[in-house]
Amino acid sequence: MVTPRKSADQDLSEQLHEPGQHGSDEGLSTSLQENITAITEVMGADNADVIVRKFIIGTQPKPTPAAIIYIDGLADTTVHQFSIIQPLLYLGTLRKDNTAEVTQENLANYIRYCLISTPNSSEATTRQEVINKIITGDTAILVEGLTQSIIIDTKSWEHRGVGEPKTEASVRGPHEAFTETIRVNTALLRRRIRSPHLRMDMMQIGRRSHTDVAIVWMEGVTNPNYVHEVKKRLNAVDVDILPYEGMLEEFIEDNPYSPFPQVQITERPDRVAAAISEGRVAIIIDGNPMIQIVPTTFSTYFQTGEDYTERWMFATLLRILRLLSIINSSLLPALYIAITNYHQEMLPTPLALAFAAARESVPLPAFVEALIMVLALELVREAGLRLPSPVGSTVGIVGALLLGEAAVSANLASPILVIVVALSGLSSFILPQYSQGLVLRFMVYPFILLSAGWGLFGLTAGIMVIVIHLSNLTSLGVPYLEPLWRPKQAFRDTFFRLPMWLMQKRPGFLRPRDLQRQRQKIRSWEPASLETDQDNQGKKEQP
Amino acid sequence: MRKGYIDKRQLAVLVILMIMGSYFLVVPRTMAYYAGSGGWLGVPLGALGGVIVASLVIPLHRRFPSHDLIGMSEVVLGKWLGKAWSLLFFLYTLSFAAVTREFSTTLLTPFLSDSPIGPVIVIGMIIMSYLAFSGIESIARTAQVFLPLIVISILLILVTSISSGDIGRNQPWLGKGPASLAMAGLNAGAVFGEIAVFTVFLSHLRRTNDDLAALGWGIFLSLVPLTLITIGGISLFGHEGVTTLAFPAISIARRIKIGIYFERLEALFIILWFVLSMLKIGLILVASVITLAGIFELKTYQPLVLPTAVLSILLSLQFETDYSVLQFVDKFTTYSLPFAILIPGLILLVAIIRGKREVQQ
Repeated sequence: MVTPRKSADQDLSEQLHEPGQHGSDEGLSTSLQENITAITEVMGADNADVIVRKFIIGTQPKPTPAAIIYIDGLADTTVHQFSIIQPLLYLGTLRKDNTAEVTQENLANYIRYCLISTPNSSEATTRQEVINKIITGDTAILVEGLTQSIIIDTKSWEHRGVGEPKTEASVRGPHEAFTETIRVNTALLRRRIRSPHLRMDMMQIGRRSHTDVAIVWMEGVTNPNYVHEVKKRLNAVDVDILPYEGMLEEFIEDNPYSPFPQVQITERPDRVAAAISEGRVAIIIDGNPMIQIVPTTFSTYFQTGEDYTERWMFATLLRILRLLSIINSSLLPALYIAITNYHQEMLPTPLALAFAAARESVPLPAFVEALIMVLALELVREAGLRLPSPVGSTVGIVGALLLGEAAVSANLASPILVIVVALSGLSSFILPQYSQGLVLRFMVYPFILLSAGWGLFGLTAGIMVIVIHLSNLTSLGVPYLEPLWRPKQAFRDTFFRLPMWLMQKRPGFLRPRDLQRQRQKIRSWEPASLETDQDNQGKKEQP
Repeated sequence: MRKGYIDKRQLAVLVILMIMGSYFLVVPRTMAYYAGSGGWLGVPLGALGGVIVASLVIPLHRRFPSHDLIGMSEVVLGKWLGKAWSLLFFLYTLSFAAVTREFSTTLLTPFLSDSPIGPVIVIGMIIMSYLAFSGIESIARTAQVFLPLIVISILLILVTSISSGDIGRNQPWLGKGPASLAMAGLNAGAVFGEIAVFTVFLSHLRRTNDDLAALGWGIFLSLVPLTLITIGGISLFGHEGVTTLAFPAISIARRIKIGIYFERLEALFIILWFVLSMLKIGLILVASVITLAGIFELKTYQPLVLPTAVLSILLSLQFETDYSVLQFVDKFTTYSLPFAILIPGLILLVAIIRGKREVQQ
């Protein structure tokens, strides 16, 4: 399981803790007591959760001492009781095969194949191997006289059940979300794609944490270059422990200095399944309910899983709404400042007068006013996120009062600016991914400063820099803005969401192995009128 | 450094950008100045210049599919002569970038009258250097992002000018006669000839044989709006009136009304065309730094971007007034056509005589 690593810096790697190196790499000895001592020495003799249970197998002619070692809490004690200890204690005397003697040579096989009644077992021959198995939740059976240990898969620990998605709620789509356990997550995916070609390549990352990471892709669909590239980058990750999936993102993304997330994050199994079927690669990290999808593109800013559950026309309209809110959330305050400070002539006269009247009593320059309001909104937002939920709603009310009524009556802000800031704040919540909203929210500040300095010119300069930057970005080598300049694909499933029966092809920019997703002519039948059919049938039956 | 690749459509967009980038705004004035009411005919005549340059650039590219200008000229003319010839091209693109940059600042004058020009130049420099730094692939993508906006703005300007103007003002359709038409054609031809810069970029094409289609469509798709805006500008202001306007297209944009609420939107148009001229400068700058890096045999051109950008800005500060820039734009184009024909032309001629072509691997 542990992938071999080659460190470029040999001197440094000698001081580093190598993954999977616990104690010496010695083979097991024939003495049971010696083996137990060696293992408990590495795992700490006083460790309360390492359980060593000794017993005697009633083999004939003479009984054999044995022991099981496991970690309490990680291994399933019911399995121990009924599938390991019970058979070994009571059934050891049974002679299943009358002709063969139980000898030292076939003892291991006798235990594995004739006594133990668990579905999954293997053998380990070195101490390290045994310890590595025990810390993942397996149970090791050590037997006097055997130089190998029988490993029983007993992984079973307390974990959260499959719940509802917290950050990506949906009305009509499925209500399942990933959990923190990698096996549950892979099962959730398997249940959605029942294909033997669904590949889950496992690896472990973290010198000390040994975190399981699964690379999920579809044989025959996903371009193998992506899988190869992901594996290459994951193999190069060198980290102590890996508690958050966000850490991994920083190791594998193409452009580490960009504010834009180059990995798509989702907690919805249906979204991951859809992405895999498009030819993308999913990365599942044990201990995290968020799954990473690469390569990702800018279009994920306005796509949600629910687009595919609603009627396509409304899904398209919603996508356009989201596109507008991207512009709104990052540009609206800056646009307000640019227009009121520099380009009043662009406003219709009545509106310009209204703006001027509203700003009359405000002593601050427009951009200071805007900065204060945007910052205040940010405070309310952040406070609402961290506070316990009963207090959260209070903060919302206080914030609304503070931002709206009080600021206006204290002449700190004009009512129009309050509307502008509220709209831009609201828009940033529409985006499907939290980290995407974060980028746009923080883009507001440079834009405000630029448009305070040079009006629309400054604002455009800022926009241009962002667009050039986005044009430069890649995710796993795929340009970030990808389907935007391929009109056919952009209209099929990017800005628009055409009916499902028109999406016959996978996105070509992902270079899938199999481009065709559906038959070309799907709705080839004529809608039959059931009434006349029934009448006809009735007539036929009568004679 | 990774060599960027562009496809047929992207190259066509870049060609349009190159031709129309700054010219769309002034073409009615220059055409009317030379040929009076026959100005509209100057544009198709000028497109012939573009066709001539394309007919030099394309065979050259087919001979050397993976070489840019410096590579070709070193193979064809020999090392030192090739470098010297490329240096000439570098100077051409550098001065070209300088003129376009000054032009872009001039464009902003109407609403930057109060602010100091220094920061504006610095912001422009940051953008153009960033564009050049990002490379041809990025410029093409950025241009494609802005393309819908640009198309809408061109359509709005064209519709406004033709619907509210009087087409009859274009009479007599042949203007002041053949000599004046030829002058107008020469001027427009210089602008179309700017596609000589693409000798550097054609090697970035994914498929070699796409060059003809891309350049052809690029020239054609620029020719149509340029002709229409000349007709529109003259029908709105008359051929004498239009010569007094600095940017006829912006003057037309001033008249655009959408509904009863949205009017005086010219600021948006100026900004949009500023974006376009920035993209154009970026493109020219890339061409010049690629050539310079080739001359000095550097592995990447990126370290040269900022110095070259500063150099072109210093060069552009030679203009004393806004008017002198506009005047120079008219003159410069006449100088630029011989350059545009001569630089690829000589290499092609010598290559044919010496029978040089790229060895196919």
